[in-house]
Amino acid sequence: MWTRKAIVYVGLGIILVLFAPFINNLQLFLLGTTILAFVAVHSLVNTRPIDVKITRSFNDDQVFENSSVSIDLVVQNKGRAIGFLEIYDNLPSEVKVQSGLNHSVIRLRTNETVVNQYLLDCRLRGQFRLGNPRLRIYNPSFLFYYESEIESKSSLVVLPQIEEIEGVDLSTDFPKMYQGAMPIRRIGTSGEFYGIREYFPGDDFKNINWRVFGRTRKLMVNQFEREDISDIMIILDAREITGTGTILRNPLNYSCKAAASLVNFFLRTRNRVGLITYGESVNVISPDTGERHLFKVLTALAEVKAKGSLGLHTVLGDLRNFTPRSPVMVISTLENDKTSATALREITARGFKLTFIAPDTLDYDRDSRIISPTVYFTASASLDNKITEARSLGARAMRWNPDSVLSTSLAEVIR
Amino acid sequence: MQTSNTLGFMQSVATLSLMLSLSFAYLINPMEDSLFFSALDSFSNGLYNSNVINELNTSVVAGILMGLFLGTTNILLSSSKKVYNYVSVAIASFFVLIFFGYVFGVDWIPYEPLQQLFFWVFIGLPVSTGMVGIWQDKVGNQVISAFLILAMPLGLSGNTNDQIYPILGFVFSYMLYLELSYGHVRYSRLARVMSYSKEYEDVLVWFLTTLMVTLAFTMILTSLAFLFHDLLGNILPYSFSNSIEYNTIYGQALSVLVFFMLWAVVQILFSRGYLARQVED
Repeated sequence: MWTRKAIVYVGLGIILVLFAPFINNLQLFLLGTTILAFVAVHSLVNTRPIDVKITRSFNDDQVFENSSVSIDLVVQNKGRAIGFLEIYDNLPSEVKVQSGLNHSVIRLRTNETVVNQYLLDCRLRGQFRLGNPRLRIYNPSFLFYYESEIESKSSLVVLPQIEEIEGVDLSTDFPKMYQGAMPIRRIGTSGEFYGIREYFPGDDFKNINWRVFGRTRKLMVNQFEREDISDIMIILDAREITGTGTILRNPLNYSCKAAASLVNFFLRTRNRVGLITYGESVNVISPDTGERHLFKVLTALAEVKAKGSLGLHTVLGDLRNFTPRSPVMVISTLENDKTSATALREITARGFKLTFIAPDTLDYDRDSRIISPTVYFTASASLDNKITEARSLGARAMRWNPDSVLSTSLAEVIR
Repeated sequence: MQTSNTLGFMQSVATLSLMLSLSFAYLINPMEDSLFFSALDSFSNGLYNSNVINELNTSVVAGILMGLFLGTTNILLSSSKKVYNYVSVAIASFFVLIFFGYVFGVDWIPYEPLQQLFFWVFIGLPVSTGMVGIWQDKVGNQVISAFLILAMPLGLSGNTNDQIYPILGFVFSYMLYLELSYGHVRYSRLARVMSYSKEYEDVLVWFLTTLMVTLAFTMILTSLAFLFHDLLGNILPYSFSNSIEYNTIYGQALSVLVFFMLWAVVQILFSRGYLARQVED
């Protein structure tokens, strides 16, 4: 491709060569000829086809939100030497270069390999595709250039950020057969203290509370909680409306962060956790345990996009086979969902222990002028009504300010 | 640090080439023949009713030095916008006051030295404009300066093969000025993007080396284009090659154009991959 400079040079050269004879000026004539010769010579410099291979590698292809990933862009020259090679690595707008450059200008000798390293700041969860790196070859005087894309697409999964949660007690009345780590406030053999009672013959001596005996002269034994595996279902609202706000601060992102934190907590305590997302369609991940299941859920949360307008009632069918009287956590603002009241009533009627978490970004949206004060008051009142309604059904409901710690907010409603 | 040194070197050589090309331009075209200065002379004659310019010193060296001084001052003053504005207003007011002083017949103002200075400013105008273009990366100034170098000394008397060496000197320094000044604009912008890295220094060195080599080849190709006229004269029928038209600069111009047309055709025919893709996956 010709640059504007080359076109100006050729135009000027021809004009000078044709104009100079009119004033019998050898100086201008020679200048015109030289300019044309210059373009002609440069058409042979750094314009021949090249043979370059580019590969991209990450230090980790699954990273968590607000962390960074190092990228190595390996440029290998298998053809002729290249004097001026501009490389631009095509990045999605959601990630930001933290250090180093995704744009570089290098000189590549034959068989030379250059590694361009840079650090990406992954501020937003999601599955991103890093596009083909773009190449531009200029000849030294910027007279000709050639642009190309090299097929080297990669995907990067940014998992939602996990917040450490401590001591969330979501007791279930329906423990599973095998003991787990979910305290269910029943007497058992875990290390967690439950209470004391009088000693009866046959009780284990090691459970006698000798301190109480010393004080009261009565034999009393310690009782401990029983811990059981519990099935927990997390329902996540991914309707289009949950994407309202900025790219980083919107209810869906915060919902995903809350869901990831809860899933991590419950799986760490050896429970079985499932996930249902609804929006454009209903996607179900059946309850399961283990590290692999955690990454399955986190990957699903990374891919969730704010789309569609399905109501909460659409998940009722999938809850039918779920372990009865188990905890169900709904993470949603329930905004503009006409089916929410019926659905919540149905969930509680089936005996599920309902916890309703509403990520509240309304204050931020109002302060950032994303929504008007009128809309703020309407939406805020509507959210309060939904929470009151859920509480009236016996659910534990909370309006969660994403700037505050989730476990603290949860502890306030699960008292 | 190394990269900025190379960029500074480019600017210095570009400034030197600018001054050299202007010197060669006035060496090839004497100032007396210059259309621009003839026009200036007529204008000042009409304004002052006296032949002002003919009485002034027409030293090109002094003019170039004046241009160098003004260009440097301009660049230094530009570091502070406020100071630059104040000084510009002060200079403009100074000249306006002198003009009014002349109109109202104020005798104590030394008009002649001022006119001399003003005249040298005109001679050095391409240098002062070009320097701003080189040192402040302004392509517009570079274009104006390049145009002034060509246009200001231009006369109607023409020039011949007797002046071939100054002409070659002019062409070489002029091309060097154009390439280095424009190259600096582009390469310094990329250097900022590349944070003056060591790898980028390599690209700059490649540019400077290639520029020198290609300029040498350009000179050879220019000579070949010239010789092509004689070759064409041998090939073409005698009546054609011996015609008056063919043996003037017009004929030479057409030969040069034919030469480059043939060059383009050969390049298209023999390099199918010319500027083509073929970048491996």
